[in-house]
Amino acid sequence: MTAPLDLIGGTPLLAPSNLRIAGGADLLLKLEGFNASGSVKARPALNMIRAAQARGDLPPGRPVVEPSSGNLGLALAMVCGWLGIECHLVVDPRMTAYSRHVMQMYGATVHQVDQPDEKGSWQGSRLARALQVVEELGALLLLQYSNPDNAAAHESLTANEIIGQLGGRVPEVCVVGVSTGGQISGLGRAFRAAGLPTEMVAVDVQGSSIFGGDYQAYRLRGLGLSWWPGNLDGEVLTRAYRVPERLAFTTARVLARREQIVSGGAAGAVLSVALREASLLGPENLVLAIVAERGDRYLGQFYQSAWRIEHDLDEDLNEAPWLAKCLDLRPLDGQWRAKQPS
Amino acid sequence: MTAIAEDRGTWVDSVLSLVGDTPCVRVRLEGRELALKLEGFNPTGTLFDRVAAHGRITSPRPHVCDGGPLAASLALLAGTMRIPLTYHESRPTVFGAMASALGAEPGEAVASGGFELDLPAVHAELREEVAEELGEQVRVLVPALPGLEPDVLPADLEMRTLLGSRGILVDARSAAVVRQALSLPGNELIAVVCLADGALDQDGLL
Repeated sequence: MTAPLDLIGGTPLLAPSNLRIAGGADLLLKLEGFNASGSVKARPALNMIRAAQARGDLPPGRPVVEPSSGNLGLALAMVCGWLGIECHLVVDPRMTAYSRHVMQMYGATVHQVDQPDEKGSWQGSRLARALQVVEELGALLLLQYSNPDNAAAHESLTANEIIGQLGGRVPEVCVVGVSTGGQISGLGRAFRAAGLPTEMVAVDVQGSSIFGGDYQAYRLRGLGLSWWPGNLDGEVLTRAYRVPERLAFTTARVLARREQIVSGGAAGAVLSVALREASLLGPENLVLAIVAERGDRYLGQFYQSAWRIEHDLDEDLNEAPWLAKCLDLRPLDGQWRAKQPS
Repeated sequence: MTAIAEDRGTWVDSVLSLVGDTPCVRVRLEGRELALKLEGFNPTGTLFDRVAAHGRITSPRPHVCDGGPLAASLALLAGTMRIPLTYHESRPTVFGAMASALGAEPGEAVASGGFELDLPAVHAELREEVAEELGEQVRVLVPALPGLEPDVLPADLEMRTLLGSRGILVDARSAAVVRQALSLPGNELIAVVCLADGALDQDGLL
């Protein structure tokens, strides 16, 4: 019988039957939505809590707090439920009704900020409120963007799991979405330590300014930021792409219809890049792409035509123009390397 | 075609291979240990994926009317076979939205048809999986399948909340069966099959 903690990890690899590039590399999708709570974030949530406990930073009775409206918040609420830890999550009004409800079902206390900070950043406003919770309750602030135990979860666990599943086959390319940077950095370090020549390809969304440019609001969840996160190790990245959210949403819908994998827009962006990368390689090669979450949380969003039309994001799923847009993607020039803080 | 994954952490070429073989998680409530078989780990988040995987599409144009989670699971099956499925809902549900995402098209308010189900095979498979993991002697409680079987217990939102606070989200009807299990005499281990991920059953109306 499984202990709750064992409901994290052991996620499957899918070799898509209907999403292949003729003559291109094989494609494998790591389906992280099969983690408990439905996303890859279950791994860092558990590891950050376990590591804090091991260090003595989280003695019995001490609450945790995190500014997160998304998958990390859901995962943290679940892990805290398993371990009997009081959990506080600071969210903003952009969060979905789905996430709010699930966080509350897990018994987390949800604090909502109502105004962005003076720079217009909701992230800054949420962090300020989280710091208040730290002061008021003596809570432990985990900070997934810079907490090294986030990346360590992937370096030690996810990477070994993937290497074991591949049974000796080595992916030429691994495509990973970037938000905190923990996953791509952890995987990249572990692959390098194992002597694998796998190229690590980062995927961001247009509007995000992680890799440079001006920040502009976008609707896609799970990718991007307005700054370079502390967990993103530019040394392990081979190249980076920035994908339009319209294409990302369309590709996610194609994935659902062709492979019956209902995921998020972030997975759509990652798959768009994976197809492009696969088209540059031969059939003896392998491209591994991380599908970070399941898509139930977006069923009221981009999977609805009314939502797409309202936000001018509707697109025909007709293969030729959609696939051509994926194959037309180009990596960013290397100037982003200068952006990583020393 | 087998409906059962040999190992969830493996390499598959169809999402149907990820149906079944769901985890049994240990939980202690009111001093009693239960095993909860979490069907929310199926691809669309419910046990109905097993129902679909053990079913058979018998027409080139199957249709499901007010099927709830069965609509999503049949859409999953039909999608793998490239068969167009239509569905109708009297009120919008998360499962209709899932069916749509999987490629099903809205249809008329007419009776379901064009598919056959084999519920005894689903029950047999569930019991077999529990026996394999926990032993033949373990008693297994399976909630009636809403829309397909009679005697569905009313939702138990209180028990669902209690389980949620322990980090385990299940649907409210399965929570009612958990409460039923706790009321049974004796101390032997009981396995409760939980129909769905509670995140998909936010209104308790699965």
